[in-house]
Amino acid sequence: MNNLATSNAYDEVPFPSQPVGYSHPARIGAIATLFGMQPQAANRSRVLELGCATGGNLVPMAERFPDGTFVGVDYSRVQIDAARRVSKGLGLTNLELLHASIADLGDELGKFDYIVCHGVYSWVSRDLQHKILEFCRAALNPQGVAYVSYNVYPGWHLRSIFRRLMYEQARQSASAQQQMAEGRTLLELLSKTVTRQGWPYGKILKAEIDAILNHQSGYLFHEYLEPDNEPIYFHEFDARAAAAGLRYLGDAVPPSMFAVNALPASESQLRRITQDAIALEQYWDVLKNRGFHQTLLCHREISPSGRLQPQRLEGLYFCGDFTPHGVAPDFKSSAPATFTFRGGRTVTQRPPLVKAVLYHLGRQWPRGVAFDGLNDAVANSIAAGGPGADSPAVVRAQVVQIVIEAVARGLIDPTSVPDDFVTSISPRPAASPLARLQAETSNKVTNRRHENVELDEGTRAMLRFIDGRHDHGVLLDELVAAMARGEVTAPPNFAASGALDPDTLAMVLKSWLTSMANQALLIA
Amino acid sequence: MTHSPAAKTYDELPFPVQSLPQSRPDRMAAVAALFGLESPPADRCRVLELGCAAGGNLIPMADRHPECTFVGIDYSQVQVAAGQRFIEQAALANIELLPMDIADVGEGLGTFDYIVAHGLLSWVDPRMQERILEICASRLNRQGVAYVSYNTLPGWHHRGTIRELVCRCAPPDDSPQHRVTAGRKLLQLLTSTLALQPSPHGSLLATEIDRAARQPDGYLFHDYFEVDNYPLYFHQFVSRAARHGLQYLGESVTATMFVSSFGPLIEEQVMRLSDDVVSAEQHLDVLRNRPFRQTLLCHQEIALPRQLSPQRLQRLYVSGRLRPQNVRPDLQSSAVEGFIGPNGLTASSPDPVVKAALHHLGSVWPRGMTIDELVASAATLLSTDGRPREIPPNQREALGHNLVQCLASGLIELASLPDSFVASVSPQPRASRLARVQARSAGSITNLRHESVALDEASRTILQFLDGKRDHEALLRELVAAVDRGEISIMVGGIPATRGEALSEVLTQTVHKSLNKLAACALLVA
Repeated sequence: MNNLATSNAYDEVPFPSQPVGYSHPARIGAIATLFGMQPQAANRSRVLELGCATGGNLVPMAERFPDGTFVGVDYSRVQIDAARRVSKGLGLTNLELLHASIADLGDELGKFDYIVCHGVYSWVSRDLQHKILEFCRAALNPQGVAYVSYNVYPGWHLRSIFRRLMYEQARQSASAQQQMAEGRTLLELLSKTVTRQGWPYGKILKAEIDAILNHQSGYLFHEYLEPDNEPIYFHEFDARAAAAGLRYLGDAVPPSMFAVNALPASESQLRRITQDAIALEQYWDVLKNRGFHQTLLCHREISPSGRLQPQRLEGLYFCGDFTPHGVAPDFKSSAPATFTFRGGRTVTQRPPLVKAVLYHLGRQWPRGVAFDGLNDAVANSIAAGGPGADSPAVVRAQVVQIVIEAVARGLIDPTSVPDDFVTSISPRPAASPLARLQAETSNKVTNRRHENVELDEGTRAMLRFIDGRHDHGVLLDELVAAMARGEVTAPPNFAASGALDPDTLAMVLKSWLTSMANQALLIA
Repeated sequence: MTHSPAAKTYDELPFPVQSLPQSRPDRMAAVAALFGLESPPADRCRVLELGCAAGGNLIPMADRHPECTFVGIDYSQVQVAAGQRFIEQAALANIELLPMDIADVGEGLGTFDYIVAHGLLSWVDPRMQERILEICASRLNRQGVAYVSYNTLPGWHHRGTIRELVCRCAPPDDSPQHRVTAGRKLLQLLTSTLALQPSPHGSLLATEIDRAARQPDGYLFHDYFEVDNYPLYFHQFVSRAARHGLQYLGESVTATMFVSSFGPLIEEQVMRLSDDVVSAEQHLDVLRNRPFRQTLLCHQEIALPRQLSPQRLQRLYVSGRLRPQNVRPDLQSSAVEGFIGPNGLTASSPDPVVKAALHHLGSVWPRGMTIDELVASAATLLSTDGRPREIPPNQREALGHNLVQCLASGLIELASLPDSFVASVSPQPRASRLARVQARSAGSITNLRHESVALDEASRTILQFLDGKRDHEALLRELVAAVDRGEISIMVGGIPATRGEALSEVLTQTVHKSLNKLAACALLVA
């Protein structure tokens, strides 16, 4: 997140440090496996984060994988101190946090299986950019994988217009807070101005301004008001990585690599121009106006396949939040079945096997399903269709293809480590220690799927008691006591009847525990 | 157009340089006068062009202004040699084209009243860019004006994106022609791909692709394949120029400088955002996604009283391609009448003097005139008793204010010199020697407004003989001879006409029509 020049800026305005799902070693490991690599098991690996800020991304990884070793580096003293406080609060012994500049790193940190560098590359000097890639090459184990995110053209062309205007307008102001206020005022004025323009460019400007104004202050400041922010074209990044002895393994978000997702029917046209994977991705970037890349890199000596490998599914886990419309779909016929997923998108499918894959993933959600388990469940559903069904080997081959394609399309997410959260409520439920600690100061906590979730007031208040030592009876007593102290109020749908009887209280508690379970916050 | 590394490609695929009306000295002088700088007289000045290519811009200027001296430099020997041959044919003694690297420009060239650097700055590396600005400062006389055109952001972002794809679609060591062909194929494919999934971004991109595809090969190559390409924000350009002691004078297309054309709401917002003329114009560039500027610079020591007033127009010549919205506009009463300009914008007024003036400007286009002449013409138009109407000073003043507004809206043009062409066809019409030489070659023809004009075969043939000694009969004989020699064919009812009475009738009409056309195209000097 930092270089020498901007360290103070991060001290003054910390960057909102959050879990970045696509940078999680369990996820990177799965993608690398699918592209043909043999990465180290993520839960027993050495992980380095360059620019770890306040540890929002690294601390949850370290907490979840006690057998792994984690090192975080950041140049902002304020941010590293904040990260250390959280680490100490959790009693983590597998996390080392260094206040240092990336520029000064040598080989003293040893080698790593995964290196994460998120939201740094585009915001540092050219020298430091060079150093980041060189360091990844030097510090990665032979089968190691680096995740580097950066801003790209052409998507950043438009953003850089506003960045420049805001920067010029605000640079006279003394404090970061004043600069942000100046920048926002400028954008609000411009926003009023462009709405008068009825042409496509005016619409694009307006949309972009509104998107910028919606950012949190910390993000806005570092993205738009810092002196360094140098987007590049994807092909330029690829060339720089190659010059550093690294190779493009693939995108941490596979669907963005494949044209079929970007622009249907364009792939064959573009393949007439080039067969080169980098050039193709560059074309898609332009056609889709992409502004951001999350790239996975490996050593030059590795020859990644460039395609997801069907034979690599075994041993991986898959998840998808598919909810069928209506009752369970019909696995006997090719009747269309529609599923809702990813908070509102829908997918409609006819083939029985596809329907069965989506259905079984949805039933296990939010837990991931091992490939073999998924295959068995699908096979059982189909076999229930009676005689005439395909042989198990044929079914399996088809399930493999379905899963590969669904990953490529971004319908389902792969991971290389089984989930360690529970979705049923035990007699003595336990929430993740990190979430309990975070809940003390914030209503946003990190769950065991490496996501930030927003807690309602009751869930947040109860979370601190969910430590695995209290049974439901004790929890009910705590709930009553907390209500008496006025710390907690029952949700509106329960509170209507005035004073709550014991049965209603038990239902309130249960609804909060269920909410924690559904949000992947319970570890026992 | 050229400096060292690119010179080879410019030799292979010359950039088609045509006359640039905005770089006319009398246009620059008019903009200077408008903003309070009295620049050297445009008909007795020294002009330098950096990157003059084959002289497509400079030679017509030299032809029009025999009392001025013109020097052009370009690194491409091939292009300079072509220009020198042309100068010889046109027998011009007041122009010199030199094969020279910009880096080698020194005091030996002397100093100049006007310096032109078109299509150059964005295509050389930053070191050479500094050199160009340094020359504009050190070779410019005290009251002089420099014209520098360059690609600007944010408008060039979209072009840059297409460039990024196009320039890499064929190996860099292929021939320029081969790379251009590959680039065109790619542009076609991108267009059809974008059509599959419409979006605001896609429609912007498609517009830019379409624009690129319509460029001639030479232009496409140099804009999209050359190694160096450095678009700038306007404010960056201004601060770089300031480091060399130059300041922003104005834009040669003056209308783009005025925020008022965006309407009062935007004007208010932009003025709230801006401390000075540069930051206001920078905001306008963003709002209109401007990709290109033709900026005029002058020395920093010069005080520019920028506040526009009708007095500034007093010694300038105004012209306007205006047409009334109503076929027979009511000039006498106070009914509001509108006049539509070349950019589609309309000026409306109830004021009889303003209406008569705009009507007159439109009817004599492309001729220009001073405000005094315009007032006199309006007075005649408004006459009800056979004598010009009396126009009091306050109405003259009002007309001046209206003309300033028309200027801000791009409805009228200004020049510091009177026209050098005649608008009517004389018994023995004459065209400039240059135009006659150009008419004999296959290249473009430059008129006396310094524009490139396209002519039909017959008009081109007749133009060659407009030496002021031949009357219309003699011109008819030359045209008949050209048809007889089979040099041109005249179509009658869709079939080529042969000899005979019918043809002679047709050719007589052709001479008449062509001469009127040549006059309307500002190609006749007498």
